Amino acid sequence: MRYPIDVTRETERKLIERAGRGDKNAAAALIQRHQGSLYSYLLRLSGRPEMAEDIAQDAFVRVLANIDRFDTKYRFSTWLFTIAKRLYVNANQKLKPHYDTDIVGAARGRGTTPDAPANLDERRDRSRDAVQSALEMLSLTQREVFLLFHQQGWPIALIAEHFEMPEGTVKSHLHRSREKMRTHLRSAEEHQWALEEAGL
Amino acid sequence: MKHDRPSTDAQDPVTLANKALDGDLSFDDALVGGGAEHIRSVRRVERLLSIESHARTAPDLTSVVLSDVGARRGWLDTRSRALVWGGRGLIAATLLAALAVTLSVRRAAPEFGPNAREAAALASVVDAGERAAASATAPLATVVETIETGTPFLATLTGTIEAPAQGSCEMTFARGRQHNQLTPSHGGRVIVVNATLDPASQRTVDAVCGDAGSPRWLRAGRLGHNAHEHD
Repeated sequence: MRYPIDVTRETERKLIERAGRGDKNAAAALIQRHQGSLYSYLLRLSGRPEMAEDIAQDAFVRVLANIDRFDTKYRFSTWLFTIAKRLYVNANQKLKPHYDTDIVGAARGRGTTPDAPANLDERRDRSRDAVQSALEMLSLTQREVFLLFHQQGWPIALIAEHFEMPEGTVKSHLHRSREKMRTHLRSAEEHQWALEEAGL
Repeated sequence: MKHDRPSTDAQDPVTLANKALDGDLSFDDALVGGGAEHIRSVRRVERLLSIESHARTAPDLTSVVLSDVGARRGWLDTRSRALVWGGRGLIAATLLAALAVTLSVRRAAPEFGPNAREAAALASVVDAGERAAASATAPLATVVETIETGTPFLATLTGTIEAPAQGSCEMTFARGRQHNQLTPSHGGRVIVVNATLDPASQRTVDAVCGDAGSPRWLRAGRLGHNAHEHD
């Protein structure tokens, strides 16, 4: 799923300018526009809902407190995600990341607990947890590149700019991460089938 | 997006799938080359991540963020913003008006400007020139200066005060009661502003002569040997 990140740049530029002049409504619009994508990105990056929420909140505060310094020729999302990533790295240094797939699932009210609804939702949750588990297998850079490309819909050129690395390197990270994800997901499915076959 | 058409036989399905996913190859070519399984796998992950991103389960951070930012830098409501902009506009207009007035005044009366000293010096040169021109034609013989002296003159002195480097200052001393008058005798451009008679010789006088309007012309002089006494 690709998001149309270019179509509203002009609108966003105006919102940024208004927010810089102290317009609370414009700042609120910026938050509402980006909080979903930032939170889901941080959630998948960290695997921890509370950490994702704290970092997203902190990132918005820092960005909006300095919004008048923002150069509108750059993308707001790039700036926001860059700050969020730095905050995540800092938080990670203090607290070793803890990937808890139950927490990720429970954050959406569909945990893999025995009481969770069965069938489709349960299967989707299992897949989602498997995805999170597969993401854990990636290095931080691979995970970021994978999420920015496949979750956030950033083009490769923008990711390359964001990481200050050549596009070829971004593609290499993407290819490796896809391969790792595929391998892990396949083994997870086989494991699941084996469990189902065994009636567990 | 430009898709090259490589020989799909030469590349493995995963490579072709990656190229298609990167946007460097059409999906048809990747599928023909056997990349379907890899593409499906990635697309499935994308779908899951997309569902998650669109789900309305993300916490709404709006109020807490706005409150925190508001405590740091403050927000302005519509009325306050209008006031701020109005104030800025007013300041800008005032500055422009002040600049316009300053430029007008400077053009009309340069002596009031920051270069007033230079302007005044220039004006004094002009004035001095005008005075010099006027004095050249004025009957300077009529100019009489009253001088105070410590010793009363007993006689009227007529003579010449030698003013070094400025020629001579011809004059006549006339006896008076409390003061003596020194008068340029031949219409010379001399005004004595101070003079004392040497009581011993009665012949010499220390005087300062020059043009009253131009102190630069003042010179000390001494009554010369050709001065003589009159009753």
